[in-house]
Amino acid sequence: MADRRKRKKTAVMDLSWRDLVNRGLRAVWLVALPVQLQAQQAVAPPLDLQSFPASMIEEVIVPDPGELFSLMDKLPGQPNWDSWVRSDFGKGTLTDRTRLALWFGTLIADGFIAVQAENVEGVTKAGRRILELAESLSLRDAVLPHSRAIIEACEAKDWPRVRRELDRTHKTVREQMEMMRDEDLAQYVSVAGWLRGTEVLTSLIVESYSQDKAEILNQPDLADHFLEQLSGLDAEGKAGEPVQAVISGLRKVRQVMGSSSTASLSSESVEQIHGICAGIVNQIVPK
Amino acid sequence: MARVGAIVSAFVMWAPLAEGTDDEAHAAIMEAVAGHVEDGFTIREEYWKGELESGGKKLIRHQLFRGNEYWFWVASSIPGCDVKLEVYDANGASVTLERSEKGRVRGVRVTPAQTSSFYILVQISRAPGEQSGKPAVQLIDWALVYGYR
Repeated sequence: MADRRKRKKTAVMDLSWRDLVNRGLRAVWLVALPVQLQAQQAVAPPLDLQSFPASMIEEVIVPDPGELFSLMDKLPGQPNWDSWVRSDFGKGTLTDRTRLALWFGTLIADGFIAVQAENVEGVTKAGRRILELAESLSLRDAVLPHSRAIIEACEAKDWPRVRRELDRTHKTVREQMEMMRDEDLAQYVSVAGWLRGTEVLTSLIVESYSQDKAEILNQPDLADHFLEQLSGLDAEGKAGEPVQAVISGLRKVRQVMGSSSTASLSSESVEQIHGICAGIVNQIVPK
Repeated sequence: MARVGAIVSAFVMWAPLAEGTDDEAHAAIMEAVAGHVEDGFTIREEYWKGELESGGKKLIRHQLFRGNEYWFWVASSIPGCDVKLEVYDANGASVTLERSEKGRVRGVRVTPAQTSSFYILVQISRAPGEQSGKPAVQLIDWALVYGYR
């Protein structure tokens, strides 16, 4: 009886010991596996960028204003987004499609600003104005579902969804314009949104300047991209007064931004960019 | 008429063909990244897409911001392709921090050390042995999506 008890105890001990070893090995394997994978990942060889033919460089996707604005919220000092929410989003009616496209671009950025401020009234007004301008651009049917979704999500204070819908609106409008062979207009929407976003961003950076905040403006390649796109547009389109103002302003912004290797811009340079962008947006949005 | 038909058939047989569509690739990515949305990532609506010959590469320049965390995801609608994705800084050094693999979707995570332009490399190869019995040149569709938080 005592022998049986002893054998049973030994068996239990043996089992526990084996179990422990197995568990230990499994744990070591589980810990080692990600380390091994990381080690494999970390050694991607350097890439000789110069050896790539230019044709392999793809189209630029312009960051949405929310991508830049969210950075401001992560840095010390609470930006006063509410002070930049428009009480009205431009008056009057335009018939010129170039001007309408530019105005539309600023409106999308205004929507993102109102979202950042979590300003329900501002987002609702922007959503409605977006739809009105879409109608003038013959894009009402395409934009209507987005406009409704923006207002619905805003009422529910679902800010990530509002951001998503604003981004979708921008994409839909760009695609529709390209389908209607209005690629020029699609470019105007993008550049105007970037200019309005930069106008607001620069103002908030100057209010509580830090090098970390100013680094957000290290975007000379984007400025180059816009200049390249606009200079490729047809002569008639470029001859228009607002487009000329955009091109000339962009050149100045690009100059202030300097080369991509330079450190953060000074407070004075940020203020300078703000002045240029504000001047252009002022010409775009009808009073 | 028969001759025209034969010419058309010959053209169709020898012209570069693309199976699947980049929309399917995009849909596969959007399905795979749903969890990242719950984790606070904003997935951009705009995305890159195109077609590559097997073994072909595409280099995309893109502005990234220090302080944001990024995931890039690439996929093709053609199953079994070897899809590679890598993000490099302006000096050509890899800045990829982490990789993910979910079905046919490959992802890389990047937290840029500076606000600047970065380079995303997409490389797609057909699985070995897939070419047999098919036209010599076939294009492989791809889509590339990114998200930030």
